[in-house]
Amino acid sequence: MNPTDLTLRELADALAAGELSSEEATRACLDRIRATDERLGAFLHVAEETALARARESDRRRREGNALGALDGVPVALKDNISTAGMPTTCASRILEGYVPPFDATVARRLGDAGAVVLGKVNLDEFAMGSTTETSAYRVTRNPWDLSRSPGGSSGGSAAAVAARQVYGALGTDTGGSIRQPASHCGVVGIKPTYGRCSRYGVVAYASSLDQVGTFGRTVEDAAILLQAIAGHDPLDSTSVSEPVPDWVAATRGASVEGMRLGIPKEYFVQGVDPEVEGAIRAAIATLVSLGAKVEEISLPHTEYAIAAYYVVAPAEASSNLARFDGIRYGLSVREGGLRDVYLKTRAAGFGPEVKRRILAGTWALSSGNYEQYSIRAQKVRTLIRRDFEEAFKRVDAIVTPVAPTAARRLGEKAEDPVEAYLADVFTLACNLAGLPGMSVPCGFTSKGLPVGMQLLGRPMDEATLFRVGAAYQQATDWHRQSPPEVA
Amino acid sequence: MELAREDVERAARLAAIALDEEEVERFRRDLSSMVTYFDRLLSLDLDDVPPMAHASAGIAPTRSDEVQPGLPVEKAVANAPQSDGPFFVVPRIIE
Repeated sequence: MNPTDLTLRELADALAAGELSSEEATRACLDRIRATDERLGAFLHVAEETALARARESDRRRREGNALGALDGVPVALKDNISTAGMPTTCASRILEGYVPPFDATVARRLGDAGAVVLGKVNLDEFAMGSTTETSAYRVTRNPWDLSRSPGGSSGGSAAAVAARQVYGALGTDTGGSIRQPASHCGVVGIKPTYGRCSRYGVVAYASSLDQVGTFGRTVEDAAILLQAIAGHDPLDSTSVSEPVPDWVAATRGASVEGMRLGIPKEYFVQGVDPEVEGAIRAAIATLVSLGAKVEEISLPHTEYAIAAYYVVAPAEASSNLARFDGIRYGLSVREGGLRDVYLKTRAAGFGPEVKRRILAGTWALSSGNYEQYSIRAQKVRTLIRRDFEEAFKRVDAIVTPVAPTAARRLGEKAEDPVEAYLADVFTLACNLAGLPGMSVPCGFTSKGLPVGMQLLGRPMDEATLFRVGAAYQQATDWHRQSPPEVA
Repeated sequence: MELAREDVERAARLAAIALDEEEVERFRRDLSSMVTYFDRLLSLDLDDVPPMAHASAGIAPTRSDEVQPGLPVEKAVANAPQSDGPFFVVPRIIE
C-alpha cells in the first residue's frame, strides 16, 4: 500500500506503531507531488529539504520516546497567505513575489510545535479574493476529479492537494466560503471555525472582521486533529478568544446525531441550485434522519441581502488592509519618479484585476457620500443576518445547506460581469458575516462524477456539534473514501 | 446606479493605484454593476438596527502592556527593495 493512501489518522497510528517513519511518509508525498503536480498545479513552493529534515527530527523524537502527538511527523501544506519564516509567502500576488517572512504565523508555529512537517505552500486566488483559484498570478490549479475544472477557491490549492493525496491535511483561510467551497468541489472536509477561534497573527489580512483560518482533511476526524492543534487564544491577536478549546477529536469518535435537531433553511433551497446538488443534499439529510436526527424547516429571511452586504464590507476592509503594499518595505517596487509615483506604479503593476476591483469598490464604499449610504447600511444588514441565525439556533442545534449552487465549474468559464461570479457565493457568505463555524462534508457526486459537499453551520463556539454531525455522517457513508481518478 | 469615470478616478487616486484609460472604463462598468446590486440594501428599513463591525464571539482578552522582544532591525529590513543599514530607502520627498 502506498503511504499516501492513508488518512491522517491512519498515518498517525502507523507512525505510532512503528510501521512507517515520517521520512518514508514525507518521501511518498514528495514523490506524489513530483508525479502529479505538473498537471494539478496545487503547489507554489515545495520545501523538500526542510521537510525531510523535519521528518528525520520527528523520527528521532519518536525513537527516543518523545513523540509529540497525533501530528508528529505528518506532512501537511499551508495556503500561501499564511506567513512561514524562511519560506516564501506570496499570497499568489506579483506584489509579494520573492517575499520571505521573518516570522511564522501563530497557526504555522503551532503546527510546527505539534511536529507537523510542512511540505510547502499551496495556491490561492490572489490575496484570497476569488472562488476559483484562477486569480492567482502564478499558476492554474486544477480539480483532481476533472482537470478541465476549477478546484474552487480561494483555498483551491489546499483542497486540491488534500484530495489528490499529496498531503494528509492542509490549512486554508475562509473570508466568505474560501475553505468550505473548495472542500466541496474537491470532495474533502473543510472547516471554518468560529470567528476568533484561531489566531490571525501572521495571516495576510483580506477582510479582518471576516477572515478565519481553518483546516482541510480527508475525513472529519482529520480536520479535527489539525484544528485542535492550531485553535486557541493568542496574545498576538486580540480578536482571538480565550474560551478553552474542547476536545474535538474525542467528539468525532462514536459520534451520534440521535435526537439532534437540524434546521433546513428554505432560503437555501431555491431556484438556481443545480437539481443534482439539491438531490445530494436532500439524500444526505435523509441519511441523518435515518441516524436519529430530527429535521425541521427554518427561515433565515435576510439571506438574500448577504451577498450585497458582504461585497460592501469585505472590499472596504480589503482597501484598508492592502494599503500596506506600497513598494517600500517588502515585495515589488517600481522605482520611477517621486514617492507618490512609486506607490501608484507599484500597486498598478503588482495587483491583478480582481484585487484592484475590490480595492476600488471598497475605497468607493468608504469615501464620503457613500459611507453612510452603503458601508453603514451593510453593517446594519450584518446585524439582521446575525439575528436570523440567533433565532434559528433557539430551535435547532445545527443547520444543513448546500455549500454552493453547483459543482465545480470549468476553468476559464469566468463571468463577464463580476456580480454574476459573486452570486455563486450565496450560501457561504452569511456564515462569515455572522461569525459562525461552518463545515463542508462530502455527500455525493453529480452524474459527471463531480463531488458535492453539504454545509453544516453551528452556533458560535460550537464546532463540536459540527464535528459530531459530520463524523456520524461519515460513519454511515463512504463518499469520503473515493479517490479522484484524474491523478491516480 | 451608473458610476462616472470621475468616480473611478477618485477612488483610484485615494487607493493610490495608477489606472490606464481602458482600466478606468472597465472598472467603471464593473463598479456600476456592483453598486446597482448593492442598491437592494437601500430598500430595507434599518433605522433601529445597530451596525455590526465585527463578529467576535467573546470579549477580547486584555494583557499587561509590557515591552516584548520585537523583530531585529536587520530582519525587518531584509525584504526591503532598497535599504541602507537599518533604514528603508525611499525616493527624495523634499526638493
